[in-house]
Amino acid sequence: MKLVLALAVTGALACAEPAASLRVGKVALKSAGPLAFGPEGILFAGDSAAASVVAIDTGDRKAGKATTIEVKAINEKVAALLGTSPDQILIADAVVNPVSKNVYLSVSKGKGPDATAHIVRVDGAGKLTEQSLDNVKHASIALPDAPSPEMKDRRGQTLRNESITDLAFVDGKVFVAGLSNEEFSSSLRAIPYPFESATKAAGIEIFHGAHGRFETNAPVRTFVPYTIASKPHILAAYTCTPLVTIPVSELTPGNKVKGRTIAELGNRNRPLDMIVYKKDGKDFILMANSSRGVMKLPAEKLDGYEGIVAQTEKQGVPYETVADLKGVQQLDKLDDKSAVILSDAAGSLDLRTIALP
Amino acid sequence: MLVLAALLAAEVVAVYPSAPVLPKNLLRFYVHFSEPMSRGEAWRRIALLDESGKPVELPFLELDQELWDPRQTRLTILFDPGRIKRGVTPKEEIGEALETGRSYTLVVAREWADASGKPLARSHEKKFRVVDEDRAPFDPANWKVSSPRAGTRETLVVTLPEPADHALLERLLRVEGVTGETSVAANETEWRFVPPQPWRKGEYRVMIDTRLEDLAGNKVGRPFDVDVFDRVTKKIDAKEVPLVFRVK
Repeated sequence: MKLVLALAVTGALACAEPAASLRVGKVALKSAGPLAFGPEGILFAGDSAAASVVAIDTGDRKAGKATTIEVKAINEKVAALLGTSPDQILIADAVVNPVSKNVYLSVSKGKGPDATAHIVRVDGAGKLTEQSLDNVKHASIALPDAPSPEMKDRRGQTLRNESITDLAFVDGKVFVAGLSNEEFSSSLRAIPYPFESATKAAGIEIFHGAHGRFETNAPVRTFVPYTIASKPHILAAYTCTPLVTIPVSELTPGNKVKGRTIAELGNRNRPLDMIVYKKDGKDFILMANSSRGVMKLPAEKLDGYEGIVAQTEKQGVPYETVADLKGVQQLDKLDDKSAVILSDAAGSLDLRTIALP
Repeated sequence: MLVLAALLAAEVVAVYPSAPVLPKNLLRFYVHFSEPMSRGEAWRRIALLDESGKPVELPFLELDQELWDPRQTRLTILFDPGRIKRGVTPKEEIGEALETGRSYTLVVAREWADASGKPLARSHEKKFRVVDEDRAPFDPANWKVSSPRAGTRETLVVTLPEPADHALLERLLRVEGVTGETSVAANETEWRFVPPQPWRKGEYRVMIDTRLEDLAGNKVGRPFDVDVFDRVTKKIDAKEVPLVFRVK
């Protein structure tokens, strides 16, 4: 997912050179979670263990064309690159650099608390290289709600942690969705880029007002920026599966926002990743799910759907399931006609290009 | 000691909530391990069995980002909120994960690898019976607080009428102006506090962070899901609410 809106790029350029605020040095990445590309090859990485977001200048700014990437058993190739066994590799996210069309993976080497974080680049020919984190231009910003020292328990341990579940760059801001391992609440933060101070990135409380009478402050699972009626919005999928639209203009620090539910996508299912694309002049949403396969939804006139207010099964925006896409864990748009998917269909974790359905 | 710890197989040391009777809309379990564990296999190693030993279908929110603490010795397991929240489709269609009056067993499989790749010393089971759902927010007006004697370091005991979330109870209560030793007891219905210096005569306040949740995710002054057509009779916007006690 993680589109960069044209609006976002121009917005950021108007403020400053995207890489101007970055400093050369070693990136202290403790864990590699969700990724998102900002302008000009700037890669944002969510670091749950350090409760921060890092901006890395990949220097990968040479315009490239989409190619047909097919890397079978990518976990084995990543393991070989990083000098470990495939069972010690976890891939958290895969995103496309919209400029160069290279794919970036966030990788954990090891599965215990001492696991190390790596960013691996896959080029159009399927060749893997590790993105250096030693001597690159970067900046990081701590999330404002990071666990504080007084949150330690009586054995002096900090148990609270917040997993960053998704990132996107929209309109000059990095949006960060998080899920705490303790309190159940929605946290979506807007952090202006270039990074200034964390205090400006106060949380936003989102009520998920899906089901008529009942609202919860449920956490956002995955989201994608999208323009509805000429206004930037976020399309967010919640932990309890509905698809919700939220106007970006309402996402201001400290604000309480109520999302509008536009689709119920069925049960026994978790949304994993989303992209928005155009085909034959029409916009579509492509959504990877844990058990309901990849769904394709028309994204035309999303403002025209009534908010769902009654108990219902699969109401609102209609969807079709893309039958030949199985086991898709991550997806990102490559160009107007193709996307890159990370899928585990038959016991092999593969990275490959697909035509947008 | 370090060498010894590396040789010992990890085991489950606690599962919270610790009560044997839990509400139908239970929101989460915490599983504590003696050693750091491996990521990436939690959902293959945890099962919820019904009375006949049959696994309950997909009771938990199987997040790829498993919710560990930084040391990876505690895993948070969320029940699928869609099967708890009122009026949400999954609940309507496949029902709730837990049914009132029935008994269940949470099973942690021995095969789960610790951070060094070794399996657990043994599997672990937590049995519990399910009672009606809990939709009531916490109301500290119903809590009891002891009155420790001046000149002593007597334990201050705050007693709740129902269990609170273990992690949040440990973290979100404090005595204003005093840093002391805290603990959670009696199936998470007691918060205990021992001051570093003897109590002095006068009024003290226990400050309760309103993010504290009960076992079903109901907070202080705010239920897990809010019925927007209910008249708002009481609204708590404060981040903390005080509970006053006197030291005599």
